[in-house]
Amino acid sequence: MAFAGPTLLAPAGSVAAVRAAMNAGADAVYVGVKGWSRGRPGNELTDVQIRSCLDDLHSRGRRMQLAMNTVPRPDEVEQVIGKIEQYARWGVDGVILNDPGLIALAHRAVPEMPLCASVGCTTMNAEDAALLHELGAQTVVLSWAVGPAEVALIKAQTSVEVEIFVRGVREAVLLGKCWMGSYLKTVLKEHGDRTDRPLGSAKRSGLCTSICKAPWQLRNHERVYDSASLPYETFLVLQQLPCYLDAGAGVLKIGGRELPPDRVAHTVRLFRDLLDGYRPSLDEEAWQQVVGWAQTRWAEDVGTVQLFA
Amino acid sequence: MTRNLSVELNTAIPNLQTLQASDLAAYDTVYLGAPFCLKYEGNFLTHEEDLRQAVEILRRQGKRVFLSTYAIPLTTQLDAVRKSVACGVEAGVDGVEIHNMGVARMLAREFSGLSLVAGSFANVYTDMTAAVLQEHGVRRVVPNHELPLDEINVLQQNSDLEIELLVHGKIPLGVSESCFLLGYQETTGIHCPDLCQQDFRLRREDWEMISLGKAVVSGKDMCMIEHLPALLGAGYRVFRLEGLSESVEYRSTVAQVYREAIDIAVGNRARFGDHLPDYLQRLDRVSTGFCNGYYFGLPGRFYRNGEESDLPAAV
Repeated sequence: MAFAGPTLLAPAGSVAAVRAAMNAGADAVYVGVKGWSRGRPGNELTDVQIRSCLDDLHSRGRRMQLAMNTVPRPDEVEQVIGKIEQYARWGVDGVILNDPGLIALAHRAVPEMPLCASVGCTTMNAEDAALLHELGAQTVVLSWAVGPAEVALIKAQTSVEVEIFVRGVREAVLLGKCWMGSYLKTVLKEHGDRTDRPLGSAKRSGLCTSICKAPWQLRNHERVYDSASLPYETFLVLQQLPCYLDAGAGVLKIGGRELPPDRVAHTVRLFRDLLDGYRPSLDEEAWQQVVGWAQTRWAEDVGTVQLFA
Repeated sequence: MTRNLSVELNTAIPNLQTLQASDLAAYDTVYLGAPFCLKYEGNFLTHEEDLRQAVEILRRQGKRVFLSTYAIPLTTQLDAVRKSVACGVEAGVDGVEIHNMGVARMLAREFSGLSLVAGSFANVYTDMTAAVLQEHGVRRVVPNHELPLDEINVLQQNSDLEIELLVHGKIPLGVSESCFLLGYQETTGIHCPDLCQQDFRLRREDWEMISLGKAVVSGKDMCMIEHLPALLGAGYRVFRLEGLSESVEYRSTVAQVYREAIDIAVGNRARFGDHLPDYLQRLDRVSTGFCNGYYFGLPGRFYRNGEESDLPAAV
């Protein structure tokens, strides 16, 4: 009998990437709403594009999730709720939000829309997950710092759906708990139907200044050490994938709406094949062979990755 | 000049050694513990006997005492949070600072009636989230440091929660579950727990931040002394002078200056400007540069030196 696996959720930063993800075997695709998502403005879709992709995805039996995971200003809240109402009428399958209070409000205003608590909510433990679930989130995206054993505890203590990143970036500071970028630089710009988007703040605009990618000099008084790169590693979850599946992770999320369509397709195909080849009864040795195959294939198709977890 | 009792000045102290060395005369309230790392030397969050002693010392000095909690606990670490809070409650703390919403949910359920403060890592960006926290025992909120004052004013107007503002000191900019400085033990010859007691600065051109290992804070001091009359006029009464990782001299000097400034601003506002150069000079002696954080809608490291505040009139 085939393993009834979790949802494979793919990123898309363009209409072409939506099609690439769909053709490669993603169960669902998430895209950013122009002006309102954690992501570069160039990787977000307009409402016209969203409507068109939604029809394509639904015609092939796939789902669409929309990222609106920036925290709105007080005068923008009504606009955000209006957009969620519109997407509910269109039949969008879920919206990702980043502010617990907004999740509660959106759930009251548009109860038919499934809500997902963004990784920006920094869900670390079962109490966090339970609270977000009580507020109206059907799904919580866990921080990459939450390992399989912790996922199992969250699943045992709550009834919320758990989403984990199988491809993503580990940064110096936890997602959702960082405002280094806007300490250094902030610019107000207009994007989509949002005016004065505060670029520089990951939480408020979705686009940080990525200062952790830059080389820094570490000093202790007069003593200067070599260039100190802050942690910034792309990771793929391969070794630990069975542990996460056994723990009850229901959605495997591929991070990277900035990826070009061919890279999205490669990544989706890799995880589709991994999931299709996975059985709960698979022993350690057999899984190591699968991991070895996946690493080789990744290296041939895509190139290097800093970390295989 | 009589001390204005309606305005609270508070600070954070990580451990007993620092507490015993500090002159806290100008403070009303003290937060105990370093919330970003449980391995911080002598951290009140993990040293129960020290916590009991600290509460006793501060009580004798007539201070209000809040216990902080670990900012990013995993499920397996919640028991440690629970234990630390139980110890604090038994010792008689006035409340507990949380930086994680799940911890608020847990404490509201298990410590009925306990007064909670949502700290700077709790990510209170909206009045909607403040309302959620209020339902879970939160009585005071530190708005996320990224918020400009015009949005904090909305939060204040739409909520009956007490608002605490950081007015001086290093701005917390982020927290991680892993320690950045641990990777430099061999290079520096300094090891945990001494690493984060040093002054490790990350510098890039004229940008500077300080690494405390698992937390990053601003390289400059938030300084809002010029804007104190406006903040008081807008109804703010609880002010944080962040001193967690500062020297004893810094903690004492900053509090003395702000206490004098508040008394003048409340008692004889017209004379505030006459004193301002002296205040700034004294603060400058213990500082490595000033900024205004995000309060004026600018990048956090900018400093609007002495310009008129555009805060609203008194509310």
